[in-house]
Amino acid sequence: MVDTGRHFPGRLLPKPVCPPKILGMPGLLAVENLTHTYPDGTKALSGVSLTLKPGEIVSVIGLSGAGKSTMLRCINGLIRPTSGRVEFEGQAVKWDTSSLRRLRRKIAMIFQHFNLIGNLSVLSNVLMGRLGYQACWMQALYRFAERDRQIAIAALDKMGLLNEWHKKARELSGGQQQRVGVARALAQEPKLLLADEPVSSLDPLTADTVLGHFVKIVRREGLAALMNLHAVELARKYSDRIIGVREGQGVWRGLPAELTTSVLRGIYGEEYGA
Amino acid sequence: MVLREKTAMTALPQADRPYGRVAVFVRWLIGLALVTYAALAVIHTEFNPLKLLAGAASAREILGQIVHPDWSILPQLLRLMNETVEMALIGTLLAILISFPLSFLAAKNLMLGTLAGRAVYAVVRLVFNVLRAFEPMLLALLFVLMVGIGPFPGVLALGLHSVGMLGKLFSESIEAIDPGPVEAIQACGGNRFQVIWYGVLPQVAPAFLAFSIYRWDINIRMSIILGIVGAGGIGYYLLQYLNLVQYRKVSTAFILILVVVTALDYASAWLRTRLGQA
Repeated sequence: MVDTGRHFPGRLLPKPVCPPKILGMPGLLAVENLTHTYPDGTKALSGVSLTLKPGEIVSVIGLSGAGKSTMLRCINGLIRPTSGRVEFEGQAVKWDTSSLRRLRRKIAMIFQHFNLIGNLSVLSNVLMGRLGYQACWMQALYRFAERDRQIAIAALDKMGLLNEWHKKARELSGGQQQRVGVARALAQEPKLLLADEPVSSLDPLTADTVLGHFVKIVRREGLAALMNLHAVELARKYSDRIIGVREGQGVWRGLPAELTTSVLRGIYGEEYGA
Repeated sequence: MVLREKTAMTALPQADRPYGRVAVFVRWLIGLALVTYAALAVIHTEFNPLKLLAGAASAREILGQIVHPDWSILPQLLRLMNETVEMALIGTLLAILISFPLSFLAAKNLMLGTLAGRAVYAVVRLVFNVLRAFEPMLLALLFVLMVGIGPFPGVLALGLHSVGMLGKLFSESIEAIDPGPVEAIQACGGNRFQVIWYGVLPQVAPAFLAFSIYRWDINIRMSIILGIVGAGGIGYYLLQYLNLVQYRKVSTAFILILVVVTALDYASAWLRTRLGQA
């Protein structure tokens, strides 16, 4: 009974009259009634709620512009929500700089366009994951503690990129670049991974390989992951639960097996599959 | 005959011309005004190719001396040329030192977030614009009056003008960065300093280096001219030789300047290509 919104396939959630009682429940992440309106008046989120248990992999699907990316960025405070609450490990997220910095150590993010620094080596890019822990006096010198280096090297090894460590990030293929992105996220030693369209800029085959690799490691390390996915098949294949978002609201929650064509029409519109 | 067949032609739809006739008339008027102004300018500038022919006679004597450069002064000129290059180097380094930190304060994408940031941005931008507006020649005249004749006023003039130029170029390359890595550093828990040092700096470093080399290159050429107002280097002596009608020495100086400037120009272009910032 964590997600009160578990409905049968094909039935869309009605707009909640009162927010579902999810705060204070044992879980890793709870998002309640999150809204965000951009300065230009665009309403990106209008009351999204979700929960995540430790070790759970949840996918968010929906049209481009449905608010998936904004929701992810509200969770680690890259975007400040207009209203609503985010709770991580039972603690309400505070919006001051130092609290956010501590929060972001535990929540890593993977991006659609990898967001690597092309001029720097693969290892340096992975070391960026340690910036949240870096000692003050080392900040200006591009130096990291030996412990940080060991963690970064281990993360590279997990993603099978050890031999590439000295290459410049921009010299790698798309699939390799995203694996560097994952290694950087793992180097943070996070509890939760947010993945914003992690494989959308890769070809279908590479996308499946990279996401499969990612999910395998998330499972092995017992981490939780919340991923925005474009490809419905990948969401079905790799997640424990799926959330459908439409026009800034959660409209469906269910298991991968329950994701039928009629459900997808409810999420993506009547044109889906037509 | 077939080509003229009327049925094959498609008529263009009538385009909207709200100010049709008036616009055409105004355009003609502007064209006419420009031609008239150019004609007046020819008269005012006493543009007269015949004068050039008349001057050819006196040029023959000068040319006669110029083709026989006086190589005995070469060691002295080399020392002066070196002084010119050093002036440009120190001027450029001074400018880099000042404009590097300031350029971050003049980048829209870093500063426009807060009200205080906007104010700092506006002030630093204004400083850059003002410094650029002062030609190094004017600045050198001013500094020669302040600190006396020699290479030091030249260094100050080049440095100050270059702060404006480099500051503008640096801050514009900061504005052109990919915001993705910045977001990534923030998401990793990086603080403000780390975001700039690790997210912005690696992206702009090659451009900064290329702009700095290019600036040194320009400053070498400029510092030759600065010598003419007494701000050190080879330019000062070039003016002396011209005043004393010693065309054989002028010739040596010209050749040396040509060789050094060309060589450094190629070196700077090669370096910048290596940095991927041609």
